[in-house]
Amino acid sequence: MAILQTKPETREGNRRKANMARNGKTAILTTVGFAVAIMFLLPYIRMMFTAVTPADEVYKIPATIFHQVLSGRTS
Amino acid sequence: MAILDSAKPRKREKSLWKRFLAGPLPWITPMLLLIFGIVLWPVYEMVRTSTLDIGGSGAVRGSAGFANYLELFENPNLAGAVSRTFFWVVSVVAITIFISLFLAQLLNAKFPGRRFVRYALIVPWAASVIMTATSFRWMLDGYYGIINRILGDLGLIEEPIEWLGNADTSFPWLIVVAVFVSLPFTTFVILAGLQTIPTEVYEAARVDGSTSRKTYFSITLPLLRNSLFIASVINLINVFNQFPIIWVMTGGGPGYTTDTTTTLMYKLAFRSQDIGVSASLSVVNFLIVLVFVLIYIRASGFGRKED
Repeated sequence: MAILQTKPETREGNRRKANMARNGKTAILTTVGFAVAIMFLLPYIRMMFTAVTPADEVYKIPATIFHQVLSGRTS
Repeated sequence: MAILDSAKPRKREKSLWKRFLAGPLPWITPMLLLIFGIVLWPVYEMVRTSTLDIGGSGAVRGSAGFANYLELFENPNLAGAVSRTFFWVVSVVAITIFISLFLAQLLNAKFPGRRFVRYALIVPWAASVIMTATSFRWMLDGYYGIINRILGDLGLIEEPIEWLGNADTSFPWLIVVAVFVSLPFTTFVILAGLQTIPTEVYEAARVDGSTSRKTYFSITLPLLRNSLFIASVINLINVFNQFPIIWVMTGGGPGYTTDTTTTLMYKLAFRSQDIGVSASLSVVNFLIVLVFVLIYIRASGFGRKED
């Protein structure tokens, strides 16, 4: 009976709220998931770029975060 | 009558034995030979070597009795290595299991790109441990390492730190890398466990008004017991015997400050040329890991029937 008496606007509002909560949860899960993936891949990505970086840049002090290969510079 | 009665079971036993010889034995013989050749014979050789007097060139000079064991227990680096090994195993396994529970839960949830995240998590498992350890060693280098650069840019350190240059900073980093390498396997074992839990159980809990926290601690965790047990025991053995991470990143140094019993064993055999003493340490190692696993099995109650 109580359900039957609920106004259509209220029901629509509840549905919208549930959708928003679900979307928010999905967004958080996706962000955390990709952050985890990057964290696990980072050492190997770094290793792959180091492999194609000229030795003088590899032994640069302080270390370069983005190697020239990555930034597109050639000199 | 009494004689006839006692003869009956003996006859039955004999026929059982005959049936075993004619039935399962030929089928399990190759496996028994394999277990003997791969597991039992090396253990026997290890114990035998620990009682031999072996020269620096590898020549056997005769029996040494328990002299190798006495020499081992007089080694000033043994106590430190044993206590470090305990700390190493407990911390790596505990941290790995704790993080894996979160990661498995994340990978069990539905979100866009979940397959990519699952594949990414497999990479440290698929990659060689030597490669991962070398990569971390390079990133932690005091001069050319990226970690010093990032921490410096963030203002967290004022000058570069030689992370692997002293035990206070190198041992925690070894733990970090060991956890990093152990996470994929543990996470996937727990994830497999999570996927075996029927959804009806969660639906029933929801109908009963259980909160998500209560559901996790009263339903998910108890039903994950077997997966957690398998993950912990395999991790425990792997971490205890872990050699490449320590060897590549610090070589057990500076000095002996980051040695575990496994790296100390290697040093005794190939640096000090004490094969007998090294073999006696491997026997001790074998016994320690056996005790570790037995204690864990007893504590976890695995295999005990539910009332």
